[in-house]
Amino acid sequence: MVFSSLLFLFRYLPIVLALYFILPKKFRNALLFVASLIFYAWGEPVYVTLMIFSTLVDYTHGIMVAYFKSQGNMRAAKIVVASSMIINLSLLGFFKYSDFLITNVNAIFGTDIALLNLALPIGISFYTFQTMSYTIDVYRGDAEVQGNIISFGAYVALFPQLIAGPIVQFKTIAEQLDHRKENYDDFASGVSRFMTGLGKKVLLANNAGIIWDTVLTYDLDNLPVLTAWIGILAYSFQIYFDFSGYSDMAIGLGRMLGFKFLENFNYPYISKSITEFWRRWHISLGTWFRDYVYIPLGGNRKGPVKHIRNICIVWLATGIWHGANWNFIIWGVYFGILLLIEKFFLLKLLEKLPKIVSHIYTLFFVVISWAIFAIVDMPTLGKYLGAMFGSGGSFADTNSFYLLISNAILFIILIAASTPAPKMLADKLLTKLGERPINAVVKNAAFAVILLLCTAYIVDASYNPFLYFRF
Amino acid sequence: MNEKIKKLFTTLKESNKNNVVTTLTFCILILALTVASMVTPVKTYSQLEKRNLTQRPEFTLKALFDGTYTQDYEKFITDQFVARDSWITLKTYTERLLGKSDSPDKVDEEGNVIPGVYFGKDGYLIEKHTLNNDQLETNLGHIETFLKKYSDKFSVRVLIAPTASLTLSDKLPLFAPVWDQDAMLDRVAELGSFVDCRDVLAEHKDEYIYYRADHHWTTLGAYYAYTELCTSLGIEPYAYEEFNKCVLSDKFVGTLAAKVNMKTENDELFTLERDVSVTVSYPLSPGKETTNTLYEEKHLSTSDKYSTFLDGNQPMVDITTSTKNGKTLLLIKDSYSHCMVPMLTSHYERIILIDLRSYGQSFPDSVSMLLKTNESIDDIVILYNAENFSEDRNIYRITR
Repeated sequence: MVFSSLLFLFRYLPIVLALYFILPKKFRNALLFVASLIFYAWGEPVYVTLMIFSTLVDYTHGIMVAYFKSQGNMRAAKIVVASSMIINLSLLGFFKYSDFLITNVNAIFGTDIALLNLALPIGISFYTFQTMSYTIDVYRGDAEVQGNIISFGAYVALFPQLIAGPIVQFKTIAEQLDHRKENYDDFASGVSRFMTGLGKKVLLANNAGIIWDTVLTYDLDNLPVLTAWIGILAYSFQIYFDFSGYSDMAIGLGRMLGFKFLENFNYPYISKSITEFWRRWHISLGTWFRDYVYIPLGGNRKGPVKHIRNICIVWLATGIWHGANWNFIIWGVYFGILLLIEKFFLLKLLEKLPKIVSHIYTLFFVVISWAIFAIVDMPTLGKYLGAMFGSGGSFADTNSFYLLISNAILFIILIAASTPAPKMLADKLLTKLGERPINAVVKNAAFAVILLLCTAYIVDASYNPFLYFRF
Repeated sequence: MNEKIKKLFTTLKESNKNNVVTTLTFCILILALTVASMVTPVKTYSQLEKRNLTQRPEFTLKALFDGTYTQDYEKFITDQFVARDSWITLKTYTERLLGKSDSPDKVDEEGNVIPGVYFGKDGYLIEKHTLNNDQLETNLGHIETFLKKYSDKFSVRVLIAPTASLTLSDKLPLFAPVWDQDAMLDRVAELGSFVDCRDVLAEHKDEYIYYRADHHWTTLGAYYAYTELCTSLGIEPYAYEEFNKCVLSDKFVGTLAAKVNMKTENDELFTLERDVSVTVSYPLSPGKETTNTLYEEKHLSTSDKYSTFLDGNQPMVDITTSTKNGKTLLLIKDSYSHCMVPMLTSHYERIILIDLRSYGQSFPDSVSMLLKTNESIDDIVILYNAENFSEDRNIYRITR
């Protein structure tokens, strides 16, 4: 199930919220666990067993780690941690990377191993990382063991963050799992966050996506420079508003239910270096790799050679985490190299340059990275990147101008919405209105408008006048 | 319980009032739409979309585990959502407000692209067609074969009608990209026997020759093409004044308006006819009776008013007229021809219409069979609009 669907908004959500607040506190985790399994199983009736399996594995491994630690048997505890990692990574590796591996083996050795053609279980990259980090945290003493299978199950399956993150580390909500307090203030702030996210996804991301999809239908061999840039800029906005919108909805829904998830995006497109960009983009993933890969490898404390090695490993892993394809590996390596360059000299230079220069530098490389990210097929990627720099043979045609004019207002909104300005303005306005009733009127009217418009766009997406109606 | 209610009130009092209001507004909004969508009666058919709507799926364990039940259930909720059509309107107006000058193409379940529309000047909606070059080449090939086979036995004419995106190009939004219809019609012209209506329509482009909200030309547009066709066939066309204009409906809202469900100025559906009596039979439409009219007025009360002409798309229509000149016309056509037929009845004693989308699927009703058994046929006209011609997958049947 996805948040931006009528089924979620007008069936699942009201039912779950109603049951949740009717039930006494002690049953709420159980409800969340069951409701989340239904949420997942709705789209993946079979693969839900994988998630339950991963949950059980780390539930038991967590308890074993805690037991061995209490016995002072650190060696055994370590083996249990390793076992959890092996199981989770095998699960992820098997379902996500088998076919990629087979394809490459076949290509290199000329073998003819049949592909498995497994459908990727939704959210597997997220939940395996979460369950794994739990066992590690218990081992490290960063988290208490969770002995209650219902609470632990609710943590792993928790529907707001289940299928697209943020990657919620157990230690950040361990306390809230059993002792959270739901209240109006949190619920209202959750509503505000959820609405923001829904609007970002349905109104901004999807519309930017239409521009990108349109550009992709054009003849890439003769794509004018301007069209290529309009296309990739549209995609850059699409991926940001899609992903951060989803995170906003997750955080908002969590908040309604009394959870406080950490932030996942912080206006990445206002960054003035790639280093800063990655501190603002998909924060929960960056944090995860930092805490569970980069630092355990020694981080930057073991000399420049190991430092470089660690950065390379982290970014190779980040790349491949995003998808089982060469373009994602290139994408990860691309960022790894940029970050290394920045770390060793460019960052100092960027600080001295005018802000606008470092901002343009950052956006330029980020936008190029999105082309690599978006286009899986290598020859197509080559053509597209070429077209961005003139290989299409022209700068612009009427098509480019049409795209620009027809989407001018949308682009202005997209640009404005990726800066903190709208939020600052809204906060300022609401502060000015103070606690007067007009404050609530303005705010709620805005939410109502967003909800109605999103509903209109969602309904429209399914609106298919029958083709043969034409004749 | 009392304890609980008391506690609820204390929390209410302690909470920020505005936050309570936000919480309640959200819950009421979601709940209202949920309840409304649940009590809306299930509909089987959408007038606007011209398709059957998904019904409540039957629950079986098998369907649950292979994922079809949940999928169908979601489709059901979406198809049956409360005030479904009005949401489309809201979306369209939002897009207009955002300065968008077109609606995006859609893809249906079979993967067919359903083109969107341009919001043109003067209230015109113009279809956003994308050229399917392979299909066009194939179709041109079939026309060539057909002409080679029959040109010496019959007077064959190919009338591929330009659509609004060519003729009314000055009504398109600024810089709007449209497919190169001119180049395509030049290709058709190369085959010979082509009736080129581009100039005559362009000359009259400021008249009401295309519907504002439908993909067809108006009967006036068809009239200008009729004059070209007649001239090409060596027939003296009647002047416009010699026809009686008869308005069928002044509340015609066409297919293009349905795509965006937007309020447009109503179109006028009319016909141009002379005093000719007709007998109309539908040989391949089981159960359809022979009539004495070219118009099926039952369609005037539906949204599909254009189907009033010749009862929409029938595989075959056989018309006998009171024009006793012994001439027979075979019209291989799409619906662009339907509003021209009343004018043609003044020139032929018999007009046979076949629609290749449903005619010619089997040998007994093949085109060659038809031509063999109806020796009285004098003229053959192939009449399609350019967009339809370039993408129709059934043109091959004319060579069978």
